[in-house]
Amino acid sequence: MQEEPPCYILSLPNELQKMIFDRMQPADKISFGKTSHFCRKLWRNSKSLYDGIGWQEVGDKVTLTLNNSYPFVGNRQFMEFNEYSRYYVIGQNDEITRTGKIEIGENGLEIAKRKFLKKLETHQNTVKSITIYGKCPINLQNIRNFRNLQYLHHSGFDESESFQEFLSKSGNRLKCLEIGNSLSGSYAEFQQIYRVREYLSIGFGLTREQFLRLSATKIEMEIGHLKAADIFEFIRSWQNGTRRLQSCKWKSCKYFDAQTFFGFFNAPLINSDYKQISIRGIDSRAAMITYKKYEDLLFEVIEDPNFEDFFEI
Amino acid sequence: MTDAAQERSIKLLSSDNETFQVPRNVIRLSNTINTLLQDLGLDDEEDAGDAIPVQNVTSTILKKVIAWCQHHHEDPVAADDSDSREKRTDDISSWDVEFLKVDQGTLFELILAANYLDIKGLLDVSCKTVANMIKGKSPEEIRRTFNIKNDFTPEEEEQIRKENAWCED
Repeated sequence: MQEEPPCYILSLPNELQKMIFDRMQPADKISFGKTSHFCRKLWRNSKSLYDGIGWQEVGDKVTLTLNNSYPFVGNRQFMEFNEYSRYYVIGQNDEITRTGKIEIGENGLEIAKRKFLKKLETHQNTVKSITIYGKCPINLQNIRNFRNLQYLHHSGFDESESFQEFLSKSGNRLKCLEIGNSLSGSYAEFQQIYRVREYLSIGFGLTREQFLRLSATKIEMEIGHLKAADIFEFIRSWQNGTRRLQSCKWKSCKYFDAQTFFGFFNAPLINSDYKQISIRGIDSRAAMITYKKYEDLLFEVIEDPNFEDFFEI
Repeated sequence: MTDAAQERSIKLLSSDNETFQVPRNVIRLSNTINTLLQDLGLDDEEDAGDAIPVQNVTSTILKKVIAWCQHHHEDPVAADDSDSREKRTDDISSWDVEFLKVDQGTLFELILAANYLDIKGLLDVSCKTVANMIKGKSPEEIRRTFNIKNDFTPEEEEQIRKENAWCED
């Protein structure tokens, strides 16, 4: 019987196999990513390569992974696309800005981006919702022709000029808008935020005047800089109007005394329209004491900044 | 370093019991040997005594490793910039390219030896050489190059192809 030739590469310890793959260049890695289905063990050890760029379609869900655990991109991205809701998530971690590694990885990133955009374009008439995390390479220009876009969650965009342009073209049809902390610029210029009817989440606090102009029924924002009286006025304006504030998540309440905040609800303002009130950054013990007074409400005191599922009311 | 220190040598014993006399400043590229000598308090001794057993390395490979160190021991110390070092495989010197024109068995034994002896430069250049052997090849070519048996089931392979199909233009 003929003896099988030895396979030296598989006899290497895992860390040495990884070391070999780590020494491949960006373009090689992408190329290798699409050809690495040659052996299960090596596939596992080279996973950090193809993890970087992966398009996976399982059922109705499409996931694009641009994972930067390998050096050439130096960041992490994640995109999720749901066939029904047309929901995209694109994300990148903060590492990219901290280390500036995005410059190093342009090659790989550009290829991924081009391919991603090509995919994205094919859905531009149907996509309703886009969520972007981090400083995403996908420019808002790329999605401004999305005719049915109604929900935009963008946590990392920091070019207020482009954002304003995007809003001027698309903002009127937005039902939901979420803007992350990193977006600088004056919200006063973003007229669209006042037209968002359903859900508005913004990183930085509005001025009192801007705050009072809002029409969204579900709001998440910082109010730490506002006076209690402003909040009070806002809530009262909603209670007296035809629309009802359905839920609110107040962020950065650290300067906001819990008892004072809950004191609002001692006034006859509160009614069944308030299904969820989430407060972050206040003393949870004080909140729990107050909670007992309002057991018919769903109170949620959030100390973890990464709260999600805001719509679950 | 004094002349005397430069002239000092130590003995290495391969796994097949061959002894090699190596100048101390040459084998200084091996962090494993450095640590060993320091731990034993022999680094400053004129005579390091018995041969140091290098149990995982055969005489053939140890000879190659020493030759590599001999050629590179005066190289400037590379900055510890693992990020940039990892990104290129086309920066192998012509001497190293020639040095590493060996059969696969020797090449992979050199990787293991460089790892064991903790000789960063040799490990780096030998890993890059293997990386270059992978580059630009199809799965079948990679299997042939390294004698890899395809251990994927047809279903697994199809799944992986599907996952990567979007990459294909």
